[in-house]
Amino acid sequence: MRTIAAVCASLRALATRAWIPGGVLVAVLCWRPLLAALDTPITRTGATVFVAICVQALPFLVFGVLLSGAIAVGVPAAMLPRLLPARPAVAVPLAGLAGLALPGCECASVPVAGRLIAHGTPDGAALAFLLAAPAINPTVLVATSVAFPGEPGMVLARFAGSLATSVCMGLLWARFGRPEWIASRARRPLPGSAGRARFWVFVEAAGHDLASAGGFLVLGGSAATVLTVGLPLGWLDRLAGRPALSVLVLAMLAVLLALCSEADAFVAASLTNLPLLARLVFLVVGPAVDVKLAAQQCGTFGPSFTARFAPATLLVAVLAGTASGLIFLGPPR
Amino acid sequence: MSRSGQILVGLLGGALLKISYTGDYLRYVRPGQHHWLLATGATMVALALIPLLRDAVLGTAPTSGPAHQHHERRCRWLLLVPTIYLVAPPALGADAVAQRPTANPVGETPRVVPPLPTGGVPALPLSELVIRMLWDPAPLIGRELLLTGFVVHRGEATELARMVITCCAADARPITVRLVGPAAVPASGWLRVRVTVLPGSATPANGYRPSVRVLEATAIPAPVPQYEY
Repeated sequence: MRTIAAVCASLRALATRAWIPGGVLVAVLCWRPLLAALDTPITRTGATVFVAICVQALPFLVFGVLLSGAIAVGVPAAMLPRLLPARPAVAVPLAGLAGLALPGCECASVPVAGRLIAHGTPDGAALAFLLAAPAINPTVLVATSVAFPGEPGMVLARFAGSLATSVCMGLLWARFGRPEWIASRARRPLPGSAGRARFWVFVEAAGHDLASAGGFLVLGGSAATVLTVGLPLGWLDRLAGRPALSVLVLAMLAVLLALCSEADAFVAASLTNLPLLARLVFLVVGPAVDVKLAAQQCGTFGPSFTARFAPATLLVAVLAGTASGLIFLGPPR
Repeated sequence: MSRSGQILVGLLGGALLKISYTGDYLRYVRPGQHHWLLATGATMVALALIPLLRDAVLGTAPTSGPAHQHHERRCRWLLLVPTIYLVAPPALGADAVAQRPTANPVGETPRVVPPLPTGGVPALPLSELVIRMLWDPAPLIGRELLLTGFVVHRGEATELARMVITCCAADARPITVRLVGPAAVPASGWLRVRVTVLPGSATPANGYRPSVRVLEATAIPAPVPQYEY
């Protein structure tokens, strides 16, 4: 009996450890027949889009993990909480505005926000930074003004809508969020960092963040690929003249397509038949919540965090985007 | 980082270096990303190799507690590594055009375009032709132009298309121009065509897709890069 149990246990251990190399082996051996079977227009396009999403995001992710590693070794853990004011009503907007300083897109902000939380930054403030950084940094604002040359209000509206979303979510989390919703591993300091040279801590931290965040980036990238390739976008033109419906549809589309925040303005600008307000909501929702981002958040903060945070962010972003559009762009047209 | 994590990060970094070196990265992202990709690939290889070398030299084991072993086991890197190494999917082409909105992306406000060169047969990117047809068509009328693109068929119509990307191939949008006689056009592949425009053919109703008369069509190998930006 005992031997059977031992064999089962070792088989199970083998299965969990060997599936990665095993998968590679199968892929290498079978890739030609597999490819022939999968060689349809949709899969060809899908493969290109998938590789493109990953290749495009990796520089930002690496930048994010290097920054996160630098925070891990350069900033003493007790310092960040002391830098921020104690009252969330002040700390959260400040953290949101700090997002102005991180150039890049959403892939960079998740590891950095994860490190902030591990270093003891209040959750609300770190989450406000997480949402604000990809949406209001200068690169994104410049891209938006280039994409909408005739609509200077668009840049202002995007900035206001995204900042409002991040501050609202930060305050909501500070008020109603529970610490245990964030996975305990996110709060753990670096493994084995005590008493070791800073350089090794940096290399270990960056490498570890890269391996785990990258896996979830690939997962989110595959989801976005399926949706990008599978969604028939031809019917979007029929939404012309229906402002409320267009707002909802474009908000969902922003979640499903998971475009990079530096590129989404150009896609929004190309949807010329749709109301400007709906396209603004597309730009406010996209950097705050989408499938790729949700996968990465799930990897860093855990599923019970993402299940609460992502839907709430979507709701707040739609409301904040709409309000900001009504203020800065005028009534729907 | 666990050993398998190190190896995967290093492999992926190597794949990025490879596509940057061979130029295949142009199928996925803009030319301006080249240096970023090289730096990213080199950083990833370094992050993977440095701890491996240290462990080999000092004879130490990889540092990882049981908790984050468990966490890392879920990494899905490998989806990407074989894709880049083994498949190297091609640039988006005629297949992708059918899955995208049909209307050409044009701005809402007039674009200032530089004057057309006076002599000869100017070569225009398709995106520029569409902008000019919309905002400043007069200088185009009666001129012969050279266009480059690939052939797509939409119903009865034959069109010349080009993909425009902003950041990466995931945000690619097709630009299409309708080809009408008299010269014969190959059924597929990349073409350079000598054309004259049909004035007033790009309307809101047809999604700002202008029609051009083909005087001569030459099959060419795919240009590098295949996208317009």
